Amino acid sequence: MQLTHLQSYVRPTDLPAAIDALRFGGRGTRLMAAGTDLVLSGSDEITGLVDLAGLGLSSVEDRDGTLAIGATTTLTDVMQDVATGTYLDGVVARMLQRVGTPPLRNAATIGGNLVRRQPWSDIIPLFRALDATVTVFDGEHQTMAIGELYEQAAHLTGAILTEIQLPRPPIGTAAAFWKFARSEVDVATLNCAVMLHTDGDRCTAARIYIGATPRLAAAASGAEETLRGAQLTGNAIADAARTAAGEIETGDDLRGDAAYRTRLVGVGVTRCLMEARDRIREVRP
Amino acid sequence: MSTTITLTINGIEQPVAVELGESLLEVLRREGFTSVKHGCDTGDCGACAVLLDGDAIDSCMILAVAADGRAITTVEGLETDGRLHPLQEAMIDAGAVQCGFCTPGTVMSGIDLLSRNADPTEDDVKAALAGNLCRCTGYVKQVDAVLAAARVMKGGPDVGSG
Amino acid sequence: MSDPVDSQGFAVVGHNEPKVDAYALATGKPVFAGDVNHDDALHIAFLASKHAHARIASIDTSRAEALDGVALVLTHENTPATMYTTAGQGYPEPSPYDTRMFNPTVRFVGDRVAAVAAETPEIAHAATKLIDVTYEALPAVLSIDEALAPDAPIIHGEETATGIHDAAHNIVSVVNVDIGDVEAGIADSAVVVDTTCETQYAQHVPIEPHVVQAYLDNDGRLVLLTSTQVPFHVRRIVARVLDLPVHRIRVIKPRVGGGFGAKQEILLENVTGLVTLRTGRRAIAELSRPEEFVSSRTRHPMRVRVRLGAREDGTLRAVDMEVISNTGAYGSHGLTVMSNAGSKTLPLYNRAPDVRYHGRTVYTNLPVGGAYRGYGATQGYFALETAMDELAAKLGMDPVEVRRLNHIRVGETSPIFAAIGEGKPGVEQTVGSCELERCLDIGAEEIGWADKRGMRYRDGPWVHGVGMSIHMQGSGIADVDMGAATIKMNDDGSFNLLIGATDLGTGSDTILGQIAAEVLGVPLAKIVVYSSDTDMTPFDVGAYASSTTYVSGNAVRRAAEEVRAQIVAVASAMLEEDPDGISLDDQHAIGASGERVSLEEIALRSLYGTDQQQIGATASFVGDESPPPFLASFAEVAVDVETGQVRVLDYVAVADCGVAINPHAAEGQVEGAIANGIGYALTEEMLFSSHGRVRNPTLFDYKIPAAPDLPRIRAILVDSYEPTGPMGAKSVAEIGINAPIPTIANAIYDAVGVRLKNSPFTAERVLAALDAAT
Repeated sequence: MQLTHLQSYVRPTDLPAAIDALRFGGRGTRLMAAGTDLVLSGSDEITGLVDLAGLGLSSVEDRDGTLAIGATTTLTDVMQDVATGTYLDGVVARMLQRVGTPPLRNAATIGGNLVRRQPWSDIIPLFRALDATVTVFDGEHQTMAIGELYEQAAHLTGAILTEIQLPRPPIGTAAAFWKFARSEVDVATLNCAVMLHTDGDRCTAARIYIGATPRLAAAASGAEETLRGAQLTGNAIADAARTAAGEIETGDDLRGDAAYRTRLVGVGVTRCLMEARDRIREVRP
Repeated sequence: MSTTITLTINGIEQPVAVELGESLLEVLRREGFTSVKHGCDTGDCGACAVLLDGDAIDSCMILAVAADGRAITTVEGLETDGRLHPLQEAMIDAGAVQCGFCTPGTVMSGIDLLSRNADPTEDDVKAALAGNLCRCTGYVKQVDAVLAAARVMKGGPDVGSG
Repeated sequence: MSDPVDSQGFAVVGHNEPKVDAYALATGKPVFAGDVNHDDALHIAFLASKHAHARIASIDTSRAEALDGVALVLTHENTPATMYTTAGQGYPEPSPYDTRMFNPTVRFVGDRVAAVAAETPEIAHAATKLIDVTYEALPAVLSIDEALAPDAPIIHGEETATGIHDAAHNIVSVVNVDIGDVEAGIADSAVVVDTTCETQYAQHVPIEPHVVQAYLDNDGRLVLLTSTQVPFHVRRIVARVLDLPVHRIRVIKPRVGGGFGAKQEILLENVTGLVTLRTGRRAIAELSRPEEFVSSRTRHPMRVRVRLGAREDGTLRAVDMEVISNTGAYGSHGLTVMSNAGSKTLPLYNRAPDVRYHGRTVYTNLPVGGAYRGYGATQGYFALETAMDELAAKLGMDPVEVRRLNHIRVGETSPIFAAIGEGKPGVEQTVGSCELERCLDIGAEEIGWADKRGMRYRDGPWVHGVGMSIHMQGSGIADVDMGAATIKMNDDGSFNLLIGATDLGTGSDTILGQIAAEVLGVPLAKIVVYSSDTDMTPFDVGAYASSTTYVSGNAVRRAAEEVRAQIVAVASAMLEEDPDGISLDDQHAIGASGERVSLEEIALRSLYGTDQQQIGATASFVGDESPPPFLASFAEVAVDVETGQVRVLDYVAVADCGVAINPHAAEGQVEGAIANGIGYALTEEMLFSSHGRVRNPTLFDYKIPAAPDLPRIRAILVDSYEPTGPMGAKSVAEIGINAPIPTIANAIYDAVGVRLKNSPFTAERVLAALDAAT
């Protein structure tokens, strides 16, 4: 048996009921989307589960250019949705193709991934680079920048993540994602996500996030700064990559040591910036 | 803590007694669906894959209670009118069944693919089987089998197998 | 794909018959040892050592025994102290008796301390945590160098252990073979290379972990339903350990979910059997995936040094191989795997008059080595074929040409055949079939060798290269491995084929059935194959050493020929024709006159009519040689020079396995072996903490290849005929796994000019090598 101490399981059909079940469930009660991680955790601490599958939070929607994703949408459903395919040249779909395996993607949810905050998450660095916003419900709905999920560790206690919005990209925007893994189905040894805003040939703003360092994704703020106002030349890209490699703290685990990861930071930033630049050029020759 | 849930397994709706904390894998094996295999219990090998409402999932990663009210298909339920599913036949004909331990799960992922993409490329098939580890075949004949099944299911001549 | 052109005129052999068990497997029938559901079974869980080396000062099981639902707790205090080897080899096993069911001294993190049998797996597992063990830690040995250090801790100091070469120095076994004077030969050489390669700890990863059920039959005999490659060795070894007569044990091997050598080992059967004997109840033991990694068996890591001396024309003058093998905490297969690093490699290059092989196997406090597809040859070929590539570079010659100049050919021999055996001297033999030259031609053509070699095609950061290597293996252990087959005829002209041979997923039930069908002139559907049940089938050593097709296949052929003679005798009486003119075809006996009588009529007459008798026969076979299959291996790789990542873009493996009894099955063996070898070359490695704990014992952290990791592996079988084989066949199961490490290493060299000598070639290692080269 996986969760030997589990005493209660409920599948509420509306958000207030779900919040009540969570609040009155006691210390050992957890929210569950697909539960893929919870089940594998085999945790003895879990005594109650509130399954979010009945809340109707599975949908992908193009809202006037903004991509709105319900929190319990499976990775497969996000990946295969037409709206995802057109959003920023399909960068989200390409990233999801590298996450897990088809049976995992058929079960795991986008919200579950964001909330579980696994350091190797491919979704978190890309969504952060894309300036996503998230809506949570704790009795009432509240929308905030995705970074608040990670910068304020306790933010989601007693609340349910309901939706993720990827904002409509202004003209001259492109994004790229790069993942290095030991094999095609491994989690990242390192990953990198970039969004570039441009005005003509100049970069007006850049977002660069590096994940699996092996810690949770963080911004390469110095590198972002070097690109502000810069022409996207090979030199500028190399500068940004060097800066990122210098500022991102890396560590050792069985997928790679710190020095190797630092090399990957430079490679990932370079490749993402070049890809994003080329995508901008493709639409604006 | 035990409870009774309703599962439709291979088309037959039935009450099933489960522990709250049990995985779907454990429950299916206990109910006699032994095609669903224990390979790793960490969602990495795919030997426990089944179709849940038509989508291939690893049954070791899902609580049985979370499947309450839903439909499950295992390879035991694929035979219709005494005929195997075209993918099962193709696996046999292509020589894709060696030890056969991963075969049921692989068939599930193949069927999931063919339900979404009737005309997959070789790379599509490889990507679709990424979650089903096989140590015997090197995947060559498994990929051939899925491609052959796709041809059969489209009604075309089965030119590639056997 | 249609059946290949049938050059031998066979009706069943050489055809892609579907596997006889494929329907049951594809429909998920409960055919594996863990599939039989019994609510009343006891479940066994193990307590493993957290220490790399420690004496158990005390062990208190009272809290565990008191837990509701616990039936039995086993430790070294209440189990037999009989010393044995877990290696499932022929008797007497050439592995030391250095193991007890439960040892009072634990010798690696994961060594077995105790077992609990309980009503549920959860209770059994919980009870293992209630066993109180006081350990007295001992200094641990965590590498080959530490094992051989002057004052190294002694790992097997116990007086009861036998068969260890030099326990005081942690040396399990030694093989020294000197042919001619290798130093003189090296001195006399125009070009010399000297290279040392090291291989890693790796695990077989059968998708079905080890699983055993034990129960008592109605006569109180112990029945073991077990996922094993060696049912008869299981019976013999369990009988000795549990002090039962052999006839009180029945071992049944159902379908096996892959073995690759890991299941040539007696790991769970004795414990499960003892639980059943003590409790009278059915018991089941099943390893978890982490236990499969840590506590079952691994590939022996080796350090192999090869020195080659060549004349200016590229022919070899001297070959020297020096091997140190790490068997981990116990000496299972310790001698023979090390021996095979030489015996399966050195005969390939038989031009050199001076040859030396020196090998040692050492103990360490790390997981235990065992049989693993390739069986030492894999490790030996890494160094040998890397050295051959270096030799070609030094000579300024094409690597393919250097191999052509030096490889063994039909009618030739090597002194190594006789010099190195398996626990005893080997057997002289002359190669009777070898199509290696054609394998090289085809492989070079298919990979595009002439166009790609040395071109270093560049695609962004990816630089391409091609590499190759050649290989041989054996077909069973000559003069040791015996297989037997029984065939009996039924009323309807069908036959039961009863074989001890052990199908672990390879398809051997099918190909042995094809051999019988061919001889008896019937379709495969008329052969009912039943294998691997010690009560029901004749003896066979089991599935290892690439033996089944050749050894068991020859036994089947002999049995079928004897049955054919009996059938012909009956037909002769029925047709009133001379038996010499009667042949069997199309389920009939056909006389010289063209008159026919059906096998059904013959069977009915024999069983119910005149001169009543059961038509049937049992025959045995022992090889007096071990014909090697050959393989030419070619790969194209791309190396990302910024990350060090290596991708295999194309793989061509051209094999000479004699006649392929079932081409699909033979191709499948090559494809699967190459895939496993690519994993071994690129990603698979057990990582250890500084205390000897395995850091990555899951399929999440230990990466075997998935479908998108591999190119479409192209296995090509060349026409060949082995005169001593059944229908011209020899083995094909192991040889492929030897190829990817040297082939990919040589391709990386072609791409980026660096030599990788420590496997696996992870991106981090490749990048470090690139850094070191600039």
